[in-house]
Amino acid sequence: MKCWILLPAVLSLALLIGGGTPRPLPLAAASSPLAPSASVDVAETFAEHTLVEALTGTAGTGYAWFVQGPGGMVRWVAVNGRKNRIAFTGRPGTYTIMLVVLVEGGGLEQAWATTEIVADQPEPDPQPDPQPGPDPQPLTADRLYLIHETADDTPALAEVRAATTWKTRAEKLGMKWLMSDDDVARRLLPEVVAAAEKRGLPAVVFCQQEKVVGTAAVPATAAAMVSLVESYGGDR
Amino acid sequence: MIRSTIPVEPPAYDFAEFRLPDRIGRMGGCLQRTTKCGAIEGVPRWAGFEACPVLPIEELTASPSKRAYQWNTNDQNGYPSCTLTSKANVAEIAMAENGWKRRNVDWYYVWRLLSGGRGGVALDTAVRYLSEKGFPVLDDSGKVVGTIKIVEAWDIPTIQAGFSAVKKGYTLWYGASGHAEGGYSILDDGRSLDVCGTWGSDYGDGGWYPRAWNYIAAGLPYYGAFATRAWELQEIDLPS
Repeated sequence: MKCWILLPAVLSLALLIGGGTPRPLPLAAASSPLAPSASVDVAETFAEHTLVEALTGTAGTGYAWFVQGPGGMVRWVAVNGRKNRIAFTGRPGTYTIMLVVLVEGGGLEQAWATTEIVADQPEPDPQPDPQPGPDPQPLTADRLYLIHETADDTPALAEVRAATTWKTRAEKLGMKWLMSDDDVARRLLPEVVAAAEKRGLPAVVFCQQEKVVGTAAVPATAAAMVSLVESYGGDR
Repeated sequence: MIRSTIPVEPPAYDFAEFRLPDRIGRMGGCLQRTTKCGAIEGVPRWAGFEACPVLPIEELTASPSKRAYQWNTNDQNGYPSCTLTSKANVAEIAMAENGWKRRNVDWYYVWRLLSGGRGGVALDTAVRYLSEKGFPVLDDSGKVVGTIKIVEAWDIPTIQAGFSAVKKGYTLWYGASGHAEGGYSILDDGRSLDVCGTWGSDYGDGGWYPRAWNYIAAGLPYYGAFATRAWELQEIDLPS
């Protein structure tokens, strides 16, 4: 597809002589009594990420190339010694290539051509990004068991066991708590004791509706025990 | 005090000697122990064959107070029942500390059973009974709803072993000068225990007072001392 658009001759001359980078100019505003007298050869479409090449067969002593695309209009530098060929690339969209030729004897000839850079059709991602799942539910427990072998109790464990801070916090979080020797608890709470022994005694076992939902080693301090309790407090 | 109405069965042991005056010429609530330290089956001697080392003296520093777990102030109320009353305190405070439902312990029933209602009881005799039968536990109406038994305990040979037990979170239950008490924590001086007495909350600081190590040590060879590691309720009853 080619679309011929008029470009003001005054602007062309000013750009040709001044050599500066022109500001984008809306093509709709362009109007000129001059008819195109030169030619620009360019393919109608280019695939994205390929080089757009434009060429003019009009002989001249000087060439001024301009490219207007989605990002605006810039003066373009030719890629060959004769200055009659340019190459560029850009993001998908319609590009207008404008050319002013200074012909021998001092005359000016001009031409326009449009081309389009076409976006590639994205292929299906063989490994699509994982879609975010539902927000993870906070861990919640309604029972806490501290299971220990009393023969192996230590002064540090005694301090945690005697502390009231984590017990009060658990109660405020709606968590019932119980401490027991493993041999005592084994008869009535076999799953809890098994989970505690799997973790290694002494251990804290959290349950939700009588199912084990987590285990942890008994923290070294009562303050750390409070944090552990809160981590199973859910969003309460 | 809540007492049960269950009949007292004849004791399984021969407790006739408990009705006699002890060596120091008076009938105390805590009698001389009847066995040597470590001789009770299932109640090993601390630092004996089982690995339970005595902690160095420099580690026997202050330990967490258990006063927050006192919820029932037992008063022996003139009965020479300190052995069972103080042990009931130990059981009830253990219930609270371990998160069990709090039940009244019927120490009066066991004391009456073991002493005939006319004298004291030795610590080791009480340990044997409580390991086998346990204290009855009562609901608020006095109905027996279960028992609480000693499951694991240590026989304490020395004062350093006793303080080691307290440092590890157990209660040192000892006899001295004809009286039995429970020491629950080491006080800041490192030389005294925080004791919960059996004379009600009007005595001491809400029923609590300090007891120096040498007072306890003096009674060890004669009365003995025990540290209960684990109790068992007939049914573990979660707090509701």
